[in-house]
Amino acid sequence: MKGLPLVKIKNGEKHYLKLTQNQRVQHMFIMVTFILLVATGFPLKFHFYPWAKPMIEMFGGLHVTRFIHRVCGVIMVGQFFYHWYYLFKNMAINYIIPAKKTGTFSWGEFGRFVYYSPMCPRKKDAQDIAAFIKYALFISDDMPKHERFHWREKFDYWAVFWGIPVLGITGIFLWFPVWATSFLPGWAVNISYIAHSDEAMLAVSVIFIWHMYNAHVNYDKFPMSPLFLTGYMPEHLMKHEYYMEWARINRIVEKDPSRLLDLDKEKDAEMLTNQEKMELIREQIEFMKESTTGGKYNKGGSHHE
Amino acid sequence: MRIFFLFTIMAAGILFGTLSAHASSIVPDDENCMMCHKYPGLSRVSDEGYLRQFYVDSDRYAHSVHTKVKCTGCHVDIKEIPHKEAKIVDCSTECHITMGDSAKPFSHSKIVEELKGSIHNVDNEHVNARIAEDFPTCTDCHSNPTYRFITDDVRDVHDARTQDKIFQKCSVCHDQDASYKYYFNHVTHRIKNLSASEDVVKTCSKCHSRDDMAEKHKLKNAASTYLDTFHGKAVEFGMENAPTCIDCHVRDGQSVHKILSHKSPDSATYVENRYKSCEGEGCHANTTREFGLIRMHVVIDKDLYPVEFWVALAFTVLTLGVFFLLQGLMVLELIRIMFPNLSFRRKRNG
Repeated sequence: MKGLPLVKIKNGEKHYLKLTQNQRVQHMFIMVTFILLVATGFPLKFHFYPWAKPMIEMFGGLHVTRFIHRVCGVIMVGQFFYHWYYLFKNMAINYIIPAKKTGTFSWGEFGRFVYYSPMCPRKKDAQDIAAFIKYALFISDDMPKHERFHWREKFDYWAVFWGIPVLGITGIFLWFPVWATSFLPGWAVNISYIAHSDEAMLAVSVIFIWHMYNAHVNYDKFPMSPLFLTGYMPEHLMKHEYYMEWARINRIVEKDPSRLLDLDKEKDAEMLTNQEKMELIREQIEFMKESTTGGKYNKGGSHHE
Repeated sequence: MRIFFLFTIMAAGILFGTLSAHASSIVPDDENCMMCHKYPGLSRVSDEGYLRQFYVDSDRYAHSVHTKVKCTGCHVDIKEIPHKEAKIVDCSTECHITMGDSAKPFSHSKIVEELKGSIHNVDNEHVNARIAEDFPTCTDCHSNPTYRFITDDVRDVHDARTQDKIFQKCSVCHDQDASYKYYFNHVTHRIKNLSASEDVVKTCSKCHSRDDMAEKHKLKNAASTYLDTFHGKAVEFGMENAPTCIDCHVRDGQSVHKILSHKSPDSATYVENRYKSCEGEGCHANTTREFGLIRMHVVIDKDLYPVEFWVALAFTVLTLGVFFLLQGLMVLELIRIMFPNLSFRRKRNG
């Protein structure tokens, strides 16, 4: 089997691969640091609300929240740089190196490779948005047939891609204002302050409402989608929301059945058949009988003689 | 009004203050003022409608910084008992005590002079609106504080030396009722910065947080803009020694009474001096002129701070735009799924 199984069958339902383990870990890093950054940053932004002070005190005071905020900020920016590395690595191992090795590299094809990579916004997304609006406004009954990541996910992805540099750069100016003003005018720190806090507000309103709605609170995923934990999506959701991706994976699995992992079958294989069970049980009863009635296993074994 | 203020402060002090020791010397009441003022209920409603307390707790007063001053030392207009309504106390009055190092009568006139030189004087050249009644006098910021001796954090006083032990040493040579206790209190009271950061901000906020005052004097709300900075938030959330108003507005080595306009070249906040104020102990190191130009009282005002205004506007438009767009799509979708087969096309076809 090459790579992770694309489809797992468990409890009679197919589950389709959507996030690799690496992607799940990346998401986890972003998620945890984001929550901590918000929890330590928002009491400062909304210092005039009554919940602000108890929240700071819950963490143990300003010294602690400041430390947590900075550590999480550094981890999140580190994650951003790792993601760039991850993108280039994938370009190299999935197109550039194999294409060069086989002598078939062309820039045109490389462009197409990037264009059709899962997160690249392309024409299909514009069509999907148009189709969604038609659907939402009762003009048509057909929901758009999405690929691996639909336009909402791409929007979230690129929002983070823009948000982290804005928050990271302004954040480092606020952390080291003396250094920042050694090459920038004083008002740069003032606008960093505004930008940092407003961009955070934008990120929070998008993540906590829009992203949560799409990923978990949505009518067909409520109360929680297992995707961010398992990386797999059950077939009924996959077919409903990512029809193209569902069809694409099915095609691969049809061609190469080794990409399918049937956990139910494996479980069945590990379990004893009824006949095997009965054989085992009868044999054991036989053994117990022999040993208590002084049979062949008991001879010469006793100290009482 | 101000007498009322002074007395409320004294009354508040009576209620909330703490005493670290009992000084044995209660000021003798030669003038017999306590004949009436010892009664806690002594009060009346003033012409302006305020309830004015005239009660004086003599034990409390004995521990205050003015304990050596007789009542008529400040209330100079009172010559007889019973007296008429007393005039507002003038702190530059020469009172009946003499200074320890010379035989000169003591007075706060030096401080009053400093205040006259500051922006808090109505005649200062940089004052925008000359409304005399809005300008502070001594009692707008100061109460009659009680002496406090705090062994915590006073690094050079040995932990074991409590006030009583120190007094024991003094009493070897000095008479029991001698003034060493007074001078001990006088000095130790000043060793530590007793005003917590919040109190300083509160004092200045009495006037500088009022929008009506700011408008009258063509200023901005200095307190609310300060509270929006990290400095203000640090004070608000109880960070010790967080920078307050006077940390930036008072020049190093000068009296807090001499706060100047940022337009006067001697001021701590003058554009060329400003960064030096940031270099205080435990504050920012190696600051540059540009660092001093980071604005600490930002108001979102198109004419005053255009860059901040446009950045804030851009982010507000972006945030609200994104938020309402996505919310709209969400609501549309949620409505749509309630009626899965209700499109216009179907109606036309069917």
